[in-house]
Amino acid sequence: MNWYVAGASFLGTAVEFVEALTIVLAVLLTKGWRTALIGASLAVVVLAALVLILGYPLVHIVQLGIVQFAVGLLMLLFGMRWLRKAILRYTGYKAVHDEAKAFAQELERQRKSGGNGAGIDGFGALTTFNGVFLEGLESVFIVITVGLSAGALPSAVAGSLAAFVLVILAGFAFKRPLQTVPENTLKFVVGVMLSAFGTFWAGEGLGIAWWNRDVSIVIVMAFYLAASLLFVSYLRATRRTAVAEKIHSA
Amino acid sequence: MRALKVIIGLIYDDKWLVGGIAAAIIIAKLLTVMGVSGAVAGVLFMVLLFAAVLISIVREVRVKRVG
Repeated sequence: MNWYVAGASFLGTAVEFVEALTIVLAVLLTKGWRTALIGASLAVVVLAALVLILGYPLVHIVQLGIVQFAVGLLMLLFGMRWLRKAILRYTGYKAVHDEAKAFAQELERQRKSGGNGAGIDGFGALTTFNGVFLEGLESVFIVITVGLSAGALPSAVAGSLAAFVLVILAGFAFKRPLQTVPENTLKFVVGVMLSAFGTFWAGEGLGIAWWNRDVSIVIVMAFYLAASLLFVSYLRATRRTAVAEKIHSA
Repeated sequence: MRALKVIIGLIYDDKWLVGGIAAAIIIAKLLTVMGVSGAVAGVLFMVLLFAAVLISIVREVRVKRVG
């Protein structure tokens, strides 16, 4: 066992696994475990098939930039839509109750059709598939390049597997506390997160060399969060003024 | 299939958001082609994308207020 190679592979892939876990957890909490796990499992299967069929040349065949741009664009479209809806709900321009009503109607529809109330959301599954596939692909690239350049591929694989197990355990630990967060807050945070990942990946696909690479995701997330909260407070203030003016004129 | 319907629905329902994202992508690509540094291009891309969300919200708020 080459511990340096295992360590490098562990650290490199742990970052990618944490990013994938963030997306899987976000979908799991908003769309249910079945949706999240189907997308994630499918991504693992497709990735494993690619590695088995193509082997080491995968690094040269797959154009990572194109995959990053496509996945980033989808995340942007969905993430920013969620963020927009959550802001409108926070400010009272969209009813918060709509979602609960729709959810109850969906449950009722499934109960009538004999379903078990735990259907699969296509968008949610696509989101976890994209996130896990892209991060998994990046992890495979790390393992192959680190392992082959040091001539210690088994050590690189071992380091990556250790990171994978550790991140999965962390996911189980974080799932329960996150389930207590109110629905609109959760959707707001998920919208911010998906938008940040989408911005980063689409940007990488376009050729933007982000400052300190993956660290930029945290900065983008912080910007979207702060800017959205500022906008929410501004819209709330203007809405209060408009309502007061209406009452006054009536 | 449902995801595809959501994408088509999104483009149809919210042209301002989708148009804003498309504009931000085009500008970011131009910046990278021109050789602008990653930090500057990244910040501009991020700001332009958020501006698309803001414009889309402001338009919806205006429609609701007038309505």
